[in-house]
Amino acid sequence: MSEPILELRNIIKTFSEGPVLNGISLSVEPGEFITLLGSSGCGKTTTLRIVAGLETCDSGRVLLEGRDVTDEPPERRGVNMVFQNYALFPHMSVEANIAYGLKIRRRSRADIRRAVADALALVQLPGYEKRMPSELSGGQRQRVAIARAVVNEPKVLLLDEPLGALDLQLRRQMQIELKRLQKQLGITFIYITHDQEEALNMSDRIAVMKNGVFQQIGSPAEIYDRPKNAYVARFVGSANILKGTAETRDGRLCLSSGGVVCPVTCYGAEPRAGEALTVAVRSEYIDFLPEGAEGFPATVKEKSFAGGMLRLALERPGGEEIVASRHGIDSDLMPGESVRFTFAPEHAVVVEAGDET
Amino acid sequence: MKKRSFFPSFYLILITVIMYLPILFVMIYSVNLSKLSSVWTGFSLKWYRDLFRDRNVGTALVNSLILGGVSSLAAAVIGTLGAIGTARTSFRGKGAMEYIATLPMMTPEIILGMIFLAFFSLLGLPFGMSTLIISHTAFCIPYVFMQVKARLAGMDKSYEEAARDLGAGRARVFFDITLPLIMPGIVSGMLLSFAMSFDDVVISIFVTGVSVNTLPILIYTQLKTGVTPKVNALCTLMFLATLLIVVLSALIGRLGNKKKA
Amino acid sequence: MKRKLSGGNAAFLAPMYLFTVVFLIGPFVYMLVLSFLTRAETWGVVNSFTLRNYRRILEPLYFNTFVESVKLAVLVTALVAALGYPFGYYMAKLPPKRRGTMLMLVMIPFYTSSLMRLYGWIIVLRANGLLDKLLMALHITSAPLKILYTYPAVAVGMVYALLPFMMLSVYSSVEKMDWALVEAARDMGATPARAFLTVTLPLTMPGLMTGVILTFVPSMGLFFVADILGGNKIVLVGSLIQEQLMKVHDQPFAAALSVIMMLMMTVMIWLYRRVTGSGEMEGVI
Repeated sequence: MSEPILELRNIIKTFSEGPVLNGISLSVEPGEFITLLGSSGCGKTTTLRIVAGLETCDSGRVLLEGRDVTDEPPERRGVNMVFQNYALFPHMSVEANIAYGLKIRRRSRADIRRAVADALALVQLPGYEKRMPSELSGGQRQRVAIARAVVNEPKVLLLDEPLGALDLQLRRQMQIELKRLQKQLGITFIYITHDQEEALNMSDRIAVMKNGVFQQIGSPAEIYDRPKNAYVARFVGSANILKGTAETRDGRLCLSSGGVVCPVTCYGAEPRAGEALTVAVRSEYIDFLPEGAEGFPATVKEKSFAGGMLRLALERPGGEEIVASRHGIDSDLMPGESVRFTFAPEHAVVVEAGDET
Repeated sequence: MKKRSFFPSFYLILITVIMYLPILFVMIYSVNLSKLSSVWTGFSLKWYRDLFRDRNVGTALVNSLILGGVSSLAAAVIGTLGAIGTARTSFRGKGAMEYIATLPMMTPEIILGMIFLAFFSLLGLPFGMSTLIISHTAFCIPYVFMQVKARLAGMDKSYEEAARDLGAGRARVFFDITLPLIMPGIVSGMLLSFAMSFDDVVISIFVTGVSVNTLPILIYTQLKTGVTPKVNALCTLMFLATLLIVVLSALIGRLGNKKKA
Repeated sequence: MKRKLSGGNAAFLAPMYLFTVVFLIGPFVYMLVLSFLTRAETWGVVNSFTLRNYRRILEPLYFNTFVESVKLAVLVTALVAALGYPFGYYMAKLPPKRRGTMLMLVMIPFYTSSLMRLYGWIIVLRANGLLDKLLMALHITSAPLKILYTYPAVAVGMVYALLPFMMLSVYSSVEKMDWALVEAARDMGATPARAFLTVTLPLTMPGLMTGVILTFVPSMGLFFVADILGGNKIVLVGSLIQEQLMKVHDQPFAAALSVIMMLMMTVMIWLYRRVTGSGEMEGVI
């Protein structure tokens, strides 16, 4: 493994309103696309601002290419940021905006002109040099903001919800373009979003954040298929949570809940029989059983159609809600009907085990 | 939509007309041939000619321009720095300090005149241009301060952060980003300060002493001692100057707002 | 993020605070001190403590002036509010484009010397002036009214001088208002008048109060209005101060009078803060 390009060591930050970061550590490889995923207020923007140097941390260290930059001001860090609202200087042309960082580094005029033209070509806005930011559309401003950052060839590019202000269609298109750009430039991207789909689409690794702590750091597949806890399971892909007790049958770990026993998968230390167990199952893995077969009983509450999927809301006898989704636009099941469901063991992942909470 | 009542427009126009009518009369009589302001005998620019030949008016004009220029400039520098400083920091007593800094706006002019007169005579400062400049700067600072403060409050902090992120040091950020973005506020605050200073009578009367006359003081003395139609001409010109400055300031303010969008 | 006071920011603040402390707090404090000092025989001040200056205000001659000045201030403030509130209100309800023009039309007199604007009234009000001529031509009156140098002339002049303050402060608070609230009140069955009294008026109270603050006490200081439009017949507190300073050279007495005026102003601002719960005045510029 090569030396990490960025390392966060046990960062703690408290604002007057309360703690924001409770000792987070992260190591980022060169050329990696890593996403900090979490809902608003989880501390992801603060983390990014601490990396950029726009915010100081109470304790902990920030290392860039092994160099401690914790006490360096933002202008001496060699990282650049794409701001959420783009922050294009309104009194400067597109060219002056992009050239700003290069001018400060006292590059020659010819160099700057070439670099600006290259950067604009890279974001597919050639010939836009003389425009003012107010004359650009939202998507164009976004591209200029990216060009302004990458033109400085930063070691790490920080992106703070850069697509948040764009409409859905443009957002999808920009996701693809950003990914292409990152591959082309080979720059490390640290990307912030609250949109799990965006994170799963673009990232090499995802760090799910909640209450100023990383809940899980891993590849999109790991995060999706092997969530470490109930929060990650729910937040990424809104999984169903089933609670019960652990049981062993035929040497396999099983979940026993409401009198029904079903084998599950556990990636961590296996709990002993009789201990509490929480399992996550994604909605598309909920299988309905023919009448009479052994499975979890439930009642169909509601049927809806969204995003190309049919969504069935079920209610278990204890009142817990389970969501099942299917491709297609309708099913024979009607609200009020009783059903039985189960799931394949490999899709039922233990997210909490033992008596810990 | 309901039928719009005509009364609001009527009321606005009526009051505006009444507000401008006296000014209009002054302007009309400034080109009246007759010496009496109650009869109209014909068009003439002779009062303007008289005015331009009057040496006292010339000196007073120069004084007024120096006074307005220097105090609005001083107010612009002091007020702008103050607004930036208060916008960026929080410390104990900041609120009280801001309140005191804007106090001249809330204080009746005569009291400002009185305290400056008393204070300057306590310090033994010679009354004249220097005391005029100090007192005018004092009442102009709040106008610049408030304008720039409002601009800073409306300014996105991320512009400055983006500049630092791109490698600019604090000083560079100030000159490249902050200053250009608040410039419309500074200029319009300064123009309004100039207008206030250029038209001030009350405070000036108290702190001017005997040697220095400004245009408003000249007008005041004439109104008290005996009016010649020259005053009409002078008032007309001063009104036009104020008009120009206020319109200019509003245009600059609007320009800045458009850019921000 | 707000920073603590550091060297760099202190450099920004220093000029304003230095200037404010020396040339504003200094004079205000001196005014207070001065009002307790004794006047010297011929010129200047003697540093001996006395309450005589304040006691003098209670002498009938000065006390009556004070009372008369306050009465006039009440009248003028009421007129300014009655004329200025609807103006600011209607102005704020204009379509944005015309609103800008109207705002400019109000700003121009606001920044023009009131002295100059008052001079126009002399032309209108003087005996056989424009008003008299108009009234006689219309056969409303048969002889000149001779309004100039009377009480009404002074009141008109003051209203005229102070009206823009009220217009602008009312405008700024009406402009900020959320009209959905009025619509909600109407929706719940309030008549337009009731909706105005129960929703619009309370919400625009800060503007009206700012206007009153900027009219009431300042009107007692407009000595030049009394001078120019009132002859020597109407004496205001401001006229007293001016006279004491410029003619009698009794600085301590002038200071005592100013302290009382400033006290009234402070009480009004304090009341404003109590009622509105904020320190920000409405649209003073």
